[in-house]
Amino acid sequence: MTTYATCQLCGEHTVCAHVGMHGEYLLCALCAIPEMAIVIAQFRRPGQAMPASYCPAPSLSRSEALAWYRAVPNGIDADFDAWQVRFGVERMTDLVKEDVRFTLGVETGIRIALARVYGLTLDEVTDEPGYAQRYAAWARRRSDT
Amino acid sequence: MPRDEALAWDRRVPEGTAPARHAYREQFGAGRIAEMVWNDSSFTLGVEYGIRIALAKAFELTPEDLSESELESAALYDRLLLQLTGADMPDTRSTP
Repeated sequence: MTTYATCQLCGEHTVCAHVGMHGEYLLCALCAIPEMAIVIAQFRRPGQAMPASYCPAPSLSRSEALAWYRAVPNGIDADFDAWQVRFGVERMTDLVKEDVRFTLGVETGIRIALARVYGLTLDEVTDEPGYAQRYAAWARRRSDT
Repeated sequence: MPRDEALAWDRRVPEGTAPARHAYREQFGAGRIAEMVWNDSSFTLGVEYGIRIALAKAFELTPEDLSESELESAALYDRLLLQLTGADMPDTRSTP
């Protein structure tokens, strides 16, 4: 969820406070350096809710994304149903949505997007330091044989 | 990845996900079953939906966001810049 904090300089205005993306820049638009467009773009005016479309950072935190990534094999029905209700799906999709190949694709797609948006690493998603190196070695052995 | 890149990616998803799938498989690998169906049309359609589901959830995208044309996105950005450059923003620093 989107969270907000108070400007650390003037103590008056509210700023977007996504931890990790721009947590070190908790300054409102009036206090921030104009050139820092990425910083300024996240601020809202006093008393006004900032539209989500003004904030460049993901609303989902990195730890939430990581938890979702790991939970994907437990099922994606709730996520898909919620998306279908809100955005709708094409007729073709309705025909194949129970197909295991389709659901496996949805799982993979979610993981592809999360990995790219948050720059996740193999070590992170497996929660096992050194896994990436071992995987690479295994993949090399497999391709040699 | 910032929001505008996510929206741009979302719009390009129907054009195909092969590069993203390839990059992901290179870095994270894929299970044996996923490998078997990697280029199957049902699987790739699912990947498209999966990417869009994740982007929508991560960035709290709305149907309006997704239906916006690039021109509308540019207009939104212009309006944002106008606001941020202070045209109609109160300068509270000057008030006692």
